Amino acid sequence: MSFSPAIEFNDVLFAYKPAAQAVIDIQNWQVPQGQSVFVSGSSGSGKSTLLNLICGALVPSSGSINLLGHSFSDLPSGKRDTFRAKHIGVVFQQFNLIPYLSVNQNVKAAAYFGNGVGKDFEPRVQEYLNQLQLPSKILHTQASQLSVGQQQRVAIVRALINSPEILVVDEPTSALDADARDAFMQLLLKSVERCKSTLLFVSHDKSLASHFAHHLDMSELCPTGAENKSSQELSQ
Amino acid sequence: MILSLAINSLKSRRASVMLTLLSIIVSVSLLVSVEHIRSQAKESFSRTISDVDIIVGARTGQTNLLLYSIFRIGSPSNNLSWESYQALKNANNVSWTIPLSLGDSHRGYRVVGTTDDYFNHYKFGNKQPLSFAQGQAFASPLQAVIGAEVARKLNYDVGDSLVISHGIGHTSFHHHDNSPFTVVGVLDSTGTPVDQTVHVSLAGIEAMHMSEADQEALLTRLSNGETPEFDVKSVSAVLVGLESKIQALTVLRNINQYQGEPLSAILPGMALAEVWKIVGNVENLLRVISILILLSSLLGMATMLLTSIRERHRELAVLRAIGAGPLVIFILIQAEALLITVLACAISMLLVWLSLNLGSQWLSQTYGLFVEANVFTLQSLSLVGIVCLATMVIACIPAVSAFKKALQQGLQVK
Repeated sequence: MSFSPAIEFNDVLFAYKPAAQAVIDIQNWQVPQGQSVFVSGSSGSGKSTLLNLICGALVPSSGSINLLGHSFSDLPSGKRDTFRAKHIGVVFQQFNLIPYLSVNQNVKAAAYFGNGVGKDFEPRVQEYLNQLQLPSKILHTQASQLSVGQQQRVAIVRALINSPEILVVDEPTSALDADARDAFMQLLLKSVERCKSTLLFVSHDKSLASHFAHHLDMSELCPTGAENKSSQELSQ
Repeated sequence: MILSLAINSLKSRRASVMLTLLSIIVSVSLLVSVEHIRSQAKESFSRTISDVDIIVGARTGQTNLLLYSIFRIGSPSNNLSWESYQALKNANNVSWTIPLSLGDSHRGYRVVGTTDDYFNHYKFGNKQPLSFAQGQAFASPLQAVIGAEVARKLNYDVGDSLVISHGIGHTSFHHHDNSPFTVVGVLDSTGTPVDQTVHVSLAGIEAMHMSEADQEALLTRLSNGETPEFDVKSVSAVLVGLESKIQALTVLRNINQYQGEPLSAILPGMALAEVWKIVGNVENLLRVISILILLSSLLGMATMLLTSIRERHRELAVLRAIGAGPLVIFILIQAEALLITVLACAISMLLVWLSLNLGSQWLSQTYGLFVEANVFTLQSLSLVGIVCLATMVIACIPAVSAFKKALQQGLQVK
C-alpha cells in the first residue's frame, strides 16, 4: 500500500448539475506519497471543486478517485467522513477554527473525530505548538481571540494532529501580510517535512510557487475547467 | 466530545439561550405544578372522609351538603331538627351517627359542635380513625378539642382558653366574649379539614349563643360541679354509619322521603365524584393550556436553534472538515436542545418544590387542599421524560435543517 499514490484520479468528471458542463475533467492524475505539489489557478478554475472532491465532500459524476490505495470516491458518505478525519488534514483560507472553543478544544475535536484522543495527545500538541512557534499558553485562549496569523498556524496544528498522510491547504496565506506569509510558509513546509505527509497546496499566488519542487496549473490538469469560467463555486 | 461541543456552543450564544431557557422554565413549571396539584388535590380530596355511608342534612343540593359537612366550605342554608336527628339515630340498620353543628368560627378556623361519636367513628384516608396528640375528648360544655393545624398556627396547648365568635370571618362584630373555652385535646395531623377545625360539644354551641346572664348562671352551675341539661334544638348535618352497607340505598330513600321535615341524604362517594367532575373540568382546561404553553416554548426553542444554524454555517463547515459527518451535526443540534430542556426541567422542578413548600399552608387554609411538596414523584419525572421526548421531536426541525446543510455545503466557507 505504501507504494500506491497518495492521490489518484481516473477519468474523473464532475458537474454540479447533470446537464451542465463539467467543471472538472481529469483523465489521469497522480500524486505520489510524500510529494508536495503547488496547484495554481485563477478563480473559477475549479480549485475549490477539486479540493472538495479530494476531501470527499463531493463525489465525481463519473470516474473514480483513489486515496492511499483506497477507492475513496466509492465509499458511502459516512465512511468518507471517517476517512477524511483520519487521513486528510485540511487548512483553508480562513475560518478554520470553531470560534467558541479554545485552541486546545479545537485540536482535541479533530483528534476525537480522527484517531481518537490518545495518551500522547498533550505532548503531541505541545510539540506541534513548538514547531509552529506558538506559545503554550495559547492553548486555553478562545479561537475567536486569536489573530488571523495565529489562527492559521493553529489550523496547521489541528490538521496535523492525526498525522494525516494527505494535507490539503487552500490559499492559507491570503489573509496574511507579506512577512507573516513567508514565516507561515516556512513553518508549514518544515512541519509537513517532519510528518512526511503529501501536501497539496492550492493558491492563485504564483509567487509562492518557489517554495515547491512540483507545480501544477489547473488549466493543465483540467483543460475544460479552465475555460469554463463558471461562477458555480460550491459555497457561493 | 459532542456534549462538550454542545455546551460550549450554547455558552457562546448565552443571551438567546437564556431567554429560551427562561421560557421553557416557565412553561415546564406550570405544567409540573398543574399536574402535581391535580393529582395531589384528587388524592387529598378523596381521602378526606372514609367509612361514612350517608350524610344527612336539611333539604339542599348534594354538593352543598358535602362541602359544608366535610370540607367546611360554605354554610348550611338550614338545619335539621333534633327530633329528626333522634329518629335517624334510632332508625333501623343505623350503627352510629355523628351530629355536626356548624356556623361559628375561631380566628378564621371553623368551629364544629358534635358529640363523642365524632372521635370514635370519624375516619379519613384509608379508614384511619382520629387520634389525640395530647389530652382527650371534651367532657363539659366549655371544653374544646382542636385540630393539629389550629394548635400549630395559633400556638395553642392543652389548658389554653379560646374565645369563639359567631359567624365565620376572621373578624366578627359579635364576639361571644363571655364564653371562653378551654382546650382539652389536640388531634394528630390528618391532612384533612379536621386539622383546621375547633371541636366543641353540641352543648358548647348552645352555651355560646346564650345571653350574658344565662352564661354567667351556667358558669356558676358548672363551677358548682353540676351537669346542666341543654335543650339542643337542631344540628346542621349528620354523618351516618350503617350496619349493613348493602342497605345504603334503602336507608337513603327512607330519609329522603322522611315525613317529619324535608331532608337530604347523600352517599359521600357519589357526591365526591360529582364535585370532582366540576373541579376536574377546570383542571383539564388548565392542563391543556399548560401543554399548549409548553409547545409554544419548545417551538420557540426550535426557532432559536434554526436561526442559529444560519449563523453557524462556518462552524458546521469546520466540523465537516475535521471529519464530523452530517449525523454528528444532527446529534449536536439535538444535544443542544436537550441540554436546554433538561436544565429547564431541573430548575422548574426545584422551583415548584420550593414554591409548594412555601405555599402549601396557604393552599390548605384557603382551599382545603392538602398538597405534598415532594414533586419528585414518578409521575412528575415521567412528565419530564415526556417533555424531553417532545423536545427531541421538535428539535428535529433545526437538526434536520443542519443535517441537510452539512450535506449540501462543502467544507469551505468564504
